Amino acid sequence: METLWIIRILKTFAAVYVKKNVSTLKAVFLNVVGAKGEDILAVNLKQINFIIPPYCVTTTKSSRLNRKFKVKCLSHPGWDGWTPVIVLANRRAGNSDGAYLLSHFRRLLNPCQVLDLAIHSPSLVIKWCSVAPPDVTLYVLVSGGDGTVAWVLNTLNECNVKGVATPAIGIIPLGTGNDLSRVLGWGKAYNRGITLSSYFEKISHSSIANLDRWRIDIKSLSNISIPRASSLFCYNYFSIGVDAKVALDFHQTRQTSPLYLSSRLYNKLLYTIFGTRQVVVPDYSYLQNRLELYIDGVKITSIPDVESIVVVNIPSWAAGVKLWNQTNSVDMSPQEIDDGKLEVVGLYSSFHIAQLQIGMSEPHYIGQGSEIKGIPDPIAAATGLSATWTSGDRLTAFAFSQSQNKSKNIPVSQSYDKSQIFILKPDILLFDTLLRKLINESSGLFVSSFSLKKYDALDNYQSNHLLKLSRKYRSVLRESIENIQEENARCQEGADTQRYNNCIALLYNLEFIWHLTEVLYIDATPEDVALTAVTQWIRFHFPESERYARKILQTISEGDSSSENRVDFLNEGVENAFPAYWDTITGLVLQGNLDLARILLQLHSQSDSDPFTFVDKIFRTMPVFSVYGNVSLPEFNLQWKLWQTNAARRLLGGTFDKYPHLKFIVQLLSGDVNSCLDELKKYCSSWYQAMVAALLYTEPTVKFYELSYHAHRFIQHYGGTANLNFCDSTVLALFELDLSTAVKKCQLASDGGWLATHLTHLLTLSGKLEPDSNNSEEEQKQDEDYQSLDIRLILEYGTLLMCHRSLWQVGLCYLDQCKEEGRARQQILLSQIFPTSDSKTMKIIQAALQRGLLDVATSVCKVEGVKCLRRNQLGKALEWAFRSQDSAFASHLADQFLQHYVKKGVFDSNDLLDNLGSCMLICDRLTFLGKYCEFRRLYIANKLKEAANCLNDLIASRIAPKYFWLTLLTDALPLLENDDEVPLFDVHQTANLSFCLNELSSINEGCMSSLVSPAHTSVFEKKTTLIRLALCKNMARAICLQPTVSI
Amino acid sequence: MVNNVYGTFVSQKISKIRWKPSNACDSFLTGSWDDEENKIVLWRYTKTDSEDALVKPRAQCSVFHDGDVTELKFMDSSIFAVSSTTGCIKLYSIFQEDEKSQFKLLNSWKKVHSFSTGDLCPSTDITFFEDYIVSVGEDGRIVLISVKDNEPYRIIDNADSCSIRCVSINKMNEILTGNSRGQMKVWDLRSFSHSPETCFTLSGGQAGFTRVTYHPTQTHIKLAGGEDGTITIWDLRNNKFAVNSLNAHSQTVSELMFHPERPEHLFSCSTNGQLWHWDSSKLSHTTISQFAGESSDLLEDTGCPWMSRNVKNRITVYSLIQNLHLPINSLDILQNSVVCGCDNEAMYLIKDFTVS
Repeated sequence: METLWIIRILKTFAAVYVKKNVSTLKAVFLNVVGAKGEDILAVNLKQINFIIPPYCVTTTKSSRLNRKFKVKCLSHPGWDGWTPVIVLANRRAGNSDGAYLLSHFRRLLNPCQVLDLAIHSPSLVIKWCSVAPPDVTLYVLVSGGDGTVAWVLNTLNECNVKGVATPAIGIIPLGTGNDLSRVLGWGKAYNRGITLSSYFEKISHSSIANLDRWRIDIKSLSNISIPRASSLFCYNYFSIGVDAKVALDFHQTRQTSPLYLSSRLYNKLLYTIFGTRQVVVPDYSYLQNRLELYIDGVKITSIPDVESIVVVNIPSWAAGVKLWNQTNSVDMSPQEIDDGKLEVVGLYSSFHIAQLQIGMSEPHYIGQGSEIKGIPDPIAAATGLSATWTSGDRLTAFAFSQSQNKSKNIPVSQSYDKSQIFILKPDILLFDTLLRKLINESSGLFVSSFSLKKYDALDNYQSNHLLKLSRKYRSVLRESIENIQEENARCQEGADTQRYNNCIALLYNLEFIWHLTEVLYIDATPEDVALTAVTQWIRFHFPESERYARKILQTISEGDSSSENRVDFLNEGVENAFPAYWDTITGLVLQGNLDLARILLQLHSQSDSDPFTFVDKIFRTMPVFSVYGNVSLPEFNLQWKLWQTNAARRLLGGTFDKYPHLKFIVQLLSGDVNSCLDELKKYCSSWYQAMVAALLYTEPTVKFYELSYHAHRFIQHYGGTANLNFCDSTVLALFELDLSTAVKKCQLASDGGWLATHLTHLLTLSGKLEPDSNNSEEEQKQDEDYQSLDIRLILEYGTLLMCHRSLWQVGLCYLDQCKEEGRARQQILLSQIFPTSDSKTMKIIQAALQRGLLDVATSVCKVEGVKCLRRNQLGKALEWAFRSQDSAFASHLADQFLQHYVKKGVFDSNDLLDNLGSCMLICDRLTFLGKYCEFRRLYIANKLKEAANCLNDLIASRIAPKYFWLTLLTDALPLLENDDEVPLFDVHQTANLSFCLNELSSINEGCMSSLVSPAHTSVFEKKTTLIRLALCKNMARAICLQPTVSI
Repeated sequence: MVNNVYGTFVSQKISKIRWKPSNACDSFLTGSWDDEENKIVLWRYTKTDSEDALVKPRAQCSVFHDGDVTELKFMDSSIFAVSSTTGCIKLYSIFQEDEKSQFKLLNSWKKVHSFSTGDLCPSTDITFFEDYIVSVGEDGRIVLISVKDNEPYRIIDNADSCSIRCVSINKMNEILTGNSRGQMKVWDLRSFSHSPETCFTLSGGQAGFTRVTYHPTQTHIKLAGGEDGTITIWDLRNNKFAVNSLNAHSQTVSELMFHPERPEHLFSCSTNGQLWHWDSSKLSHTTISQFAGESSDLLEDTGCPWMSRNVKNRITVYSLIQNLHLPINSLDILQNSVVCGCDNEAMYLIKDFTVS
């Protein structure tokens, strides 16, 4: 049932590549704006190489009226550098720009060089190529969008089949996206201000580049034959999932009405509108589950939650977005249009696409390769696919084809035997069983954090609590990492190692960022010791040196017991026994851990020598600033200067020339970072490590706000801001004290928003997070529904959890904190949960009632009720009707019971009906049913008098349905014919009964003629006759006994 | 509140948790619900070097389970039965192989409960009755299955017009069922009648029963937990009305259990995350033993604290765990250790609380 997608590089294909530095020449040419004659003159002088002189070409016209013509032969005019241009344009295209281009080019060139695509097929170009002299390069200037270019390129592909030299293609961009044109340097859009002849200028300054051409084969893996064998060609990009065009539309709408798009749910909704409007050739969203992606035969497994996979060949997508920015990575090469490789990226969401378009975000890089496979549905492959959001994060995809002949109003019927509906859902790393502990445990902390809000003033007590909370979150993260490592160690099969590593890497990054945030923002550190805090952070996350140092010390102390080893160490020198000795010491110094470094240095075999004792001394004498000490800042600075000068002096003296490691350390200590920067970079894998190391010895009293400057300085040393990865850039934003950017970066982590949500919440609690800077305060006032950033994130996260089958309860807890919007979402999502059993239903109802969502509870009950009715469980259905207080449904059910009784003479659910209690008051019909059951109980218990009274009440009150009257009267029959001395019905009651009987008869006569079958009528007649007789007898007896009654 | 609570997160919502009967409280079973793949897991507290091993259980073995686990019951110390929302009942045994515990499927019965439309019908509760498993379901059916046979031994169709929620042994040959309308019915398994021996209703019939349990030594005393969080006490010798009704929890009572050896202690948990220990030992320890088995009048006045008129004064209630924000679905007690399983995907062990 699956189709295989193979995109295989076929061959490289010629296309014109225009170099971008032509602007000066173009400017010269643009100045020559004069009479038309001059224009033509200029062309004649400069563009002679592009024109086919009339005497060189022979054409035949098929008829006089038809403008179609055929080229017969083309000869060389005889001058060097002759490269004729064929212009292709469609006069109907691009706002009549096409027509304009056609007419003007006809003026500039030989008219037979200018082909109207509305009349001619591009195959005429092939004809041109075939007749052209072999040494001549033919240029083809195509005006149109990417589609037109692709069409022409496809046609030209046949050239190769026929063994003709391929022409070079240039583009006049008339389309909307014009990605191919952008890449090749032809500009992003055509405007009429450009003189056409400037295109000739462009061509003459162009070089020819190769463009990869890809074939997409759609093959069936199953036995079902596909109606259309498909094979497409692709030059720029294609996407599986959200189509680039859809994305573009979406983005434009977004820009025009940003108000509606503040939340993801709305985005999705809007997306659905666009997604369904656009009939795209295979469109699959949320597809990493449905798709097996192989790049060069290697299966790609770790695709995160993507809505779209885009395969790009050129560095421009959806109107100029450069998707492949991966230049710093080792195993990925920069994107080239002719490298025989396709680049594959994943896009997370619609919002992500919008971010991409304004250059705010990066796509998920999946890989690069020359063959891509996927497995979708065969029918969808043939017809196209459409998708719609169902509940929460589920996307339902189905094969769908829109009728193409709209004008003729003929429905295109395509019926397939086995069309399928796919339900797609995102595979979110956070939902991995390994990480579920994180979700649940942090939700507990989250809920508990709301008790903190009660303390409104930001007093010490509160901030202490916040710090505790922050540490708890971190310990949850740490514990999760440990758990996973433990688990990983236990199952050593290695099958899941990738998964474990992914999770650990994710958690580690989260903890890393969280820790820095805690150090910088939540822990109330005094300004002047910013560096102490940051150093702590670095030490905690890069503990290798310290760990190794401890190992050395431990080995030596163990060696103590067996004295031989110790002697060995001392003889050999510790530096020789441990290869990483110097690296460790340097690492310790870089982290400011001088005490440990000193201990290690003392173990060195030469530790008694002069350089070592000196280093030991400066280590010991380094002044340490403490806010609570009694040294003032200027005083400290003075001490520091003195100390450093001392160190620098010895450095100049050349004491350390024998020991390069010591020299580096002293250099660093003396504050001379610039001269040993390269050395420093060797020891520090990341810019923040280097930054902290350098600041420790250059500016020990650096302030928080100065960190930003230093961070930028060191990023420059490490390859500039362009090379920052997710973690780096978040760290940078934190150093810049730009929390809102940091939070935005956090949102891009593949943790489903866990970090962003919890961190933002904590920061908001601590009052550190300013309201969103994008919205001015006035705007906030105007918009009453304005939600602060943390609430928005909680909403997102809560919604995500609610969409999970098992975590909906946790999600509810999050949405609880989001006021109206959260409530609205709870309402929608809660009623969409599918109950598998009564106990789950009860939990849903309880959750709804707890939150005052009465209508959700009611609707869930109603749904359950109808389900029971369908299963013919009337009793249970009635129970649900009680729960939902749905009187109409209860009436309907009561009718069902009564009608069943009329037919069968027994009730199904006696146990329920006999114990209705006050529930029977929900509707008249049920009250009647309850009372009737009471009558039956009385009758069976032989309490005839009471039974008779009860029956009389039932008849007299007129709440019985008409179809039940006969049954009631028939029930009266044995009571009427009772042989007791006193008749059970008195005069009034008997009169009531007979009145009822008369009415029934008259009604029956009314409809007897047509509706009621004769057999039925005779039964009815028989019964009524009997009843009438009994009534008469009873009346007679009653009157005898009650002579005083006046009738 | 006691501090000796040890939580373990297990990545699945736990619907049932049961100690494996043994002398040492060292292993227990959990069943999960509401997940894509539900599991039954055997956990064990192993003695290793590290300190926390005794409170941190390790998964010994697990098996996938179709549908949600609705009940787990041990027949003896190694054989247990499990019921599912798919209406299927399975019988497993736990055996040791090379120091490792393994599950072995002894028998399984598919579609014990089913709807007329063919939809899956959950089995809501099971109990052991000699060599038989009694299963009740949302289709209102009681099924008696012999452990050895492949076909059900006896089916009582339409035993209830609503869902049967819980089942318990009443006395020899009799079982007690509670339904979602607050009705209790007593069935004699020997008689072939399709109607209950007796049927009694909680007045009003508004809130259904979720659990029913009996006093370990005075089996005629039944306690029923309700949807609305009430615990009702019934004396089956006088079966028209409930003896007492306690407004216990504020939400559905999800499990209710007497300490098997010390019946003066009762444990209950609820869907609003409460786990309570009801201790009646301090006030009634002597009187119980004195009046056990004597005439009912005496008992009603002074004997069993559950039956006394001022029941609230005679029982002390302790909360064993800080209130959780999500439901506690199940609890089990063995000796002086309570385990409970919750919807926040954690299970908690409460050790060494005072059971005098």
